[in-house]
Amino acid sequence: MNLTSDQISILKLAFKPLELSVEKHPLFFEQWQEDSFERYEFITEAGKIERYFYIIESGVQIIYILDHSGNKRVLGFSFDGSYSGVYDSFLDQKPSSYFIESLTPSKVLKIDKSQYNSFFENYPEFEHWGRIIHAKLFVGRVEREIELITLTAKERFEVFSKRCPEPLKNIPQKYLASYLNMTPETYSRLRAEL
Amino acid sequence: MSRVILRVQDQLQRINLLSEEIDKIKLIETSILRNRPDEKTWSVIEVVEHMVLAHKPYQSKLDDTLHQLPTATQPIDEIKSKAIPSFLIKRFPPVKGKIKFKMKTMKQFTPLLSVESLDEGEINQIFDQFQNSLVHLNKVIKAYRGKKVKNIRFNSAIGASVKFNVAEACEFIICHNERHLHQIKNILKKVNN
Repeated sequence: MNLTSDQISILKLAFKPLELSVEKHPLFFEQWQEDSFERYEFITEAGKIERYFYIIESGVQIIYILDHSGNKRVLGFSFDGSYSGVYDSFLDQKPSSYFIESLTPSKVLKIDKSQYNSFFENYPEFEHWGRIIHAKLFVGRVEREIELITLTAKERFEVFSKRCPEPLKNIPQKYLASYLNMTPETYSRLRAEL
Repeated sequence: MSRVILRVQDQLQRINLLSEEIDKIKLIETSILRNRPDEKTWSVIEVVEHMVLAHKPYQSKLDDTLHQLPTATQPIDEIKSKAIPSFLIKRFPPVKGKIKFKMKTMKQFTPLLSVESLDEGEINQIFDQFQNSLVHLNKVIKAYRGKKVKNIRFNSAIGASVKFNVAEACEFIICHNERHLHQIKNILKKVNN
């Protein structure tokens, strides 16, 4: 597919610190396909295998799991320029435990598993990217776990408010509350106190 | 009596799980799938055929009702089931591995297969039909999420004594399939012994 200059820029940014160029990495830039999702459309369903690795061009997506009562427990969000997809399901080609839903209309670039693998097979520098991205993912999950275990609801709210990315400021509060492991009422009260 | 809360995502997840489990069962040797543990017990493939038959009366009812339902402004992910559907839904799941709430199979849902003569192609076709029924159910659930489902109720396959809205009918079919998946596992245990 022929990517636009904006799409090339998004991909280059998403795969930092690699210095990707169309001239040196033609196979990388050739593989991406465009896709789009409507508001509230499921991108991945729990119980299905994740077929794609996504980079979001625009839009906000939410990732959640169902608890034993069937309630949604929000694990995270993806937005412009970030990765999306159920990564563990994608890597292992096993059924996903999570749902990914588009909270706003989304435009994405996507690759399937064999295309993803081809980057590593054709460009040795992707091993470096792989090491960095997995370390980031690991550290990010540990930090979040520590915050959930050690911080009070108020502290979690304050920490999140300081680093809340712009695209998340307009999504329904109930999702942010769930992400911070608090009730929507507590979230609303803390927001009013701020 | 407490009423059951039906959740869109929960229903989708359970359908996907059923699909995955049935895909695994499809790979089992044909002779085992055809085997009845005893004269009164269905074989695995008969159970699958029964699930296909049980879905059929709902297919057009669900599609027609969806067509008539007014659109909701926001997706509705949770619906409180009415009392009678709740009563049925709560009694469906096996308790401690045993099916307590027995239901008599209606004549129209009884599989009339010549089990011994079924070849691999015919068996695969029955599995495919069942997978198609799950795909249909998946589409219906995603569609009813954007509709005001409580506005229309229709007669269940049992008759006018039990009426369902689309969400309740989907739950009923899923519970029915889960119950029969449990039955399939029990048949396989007996056949393999």
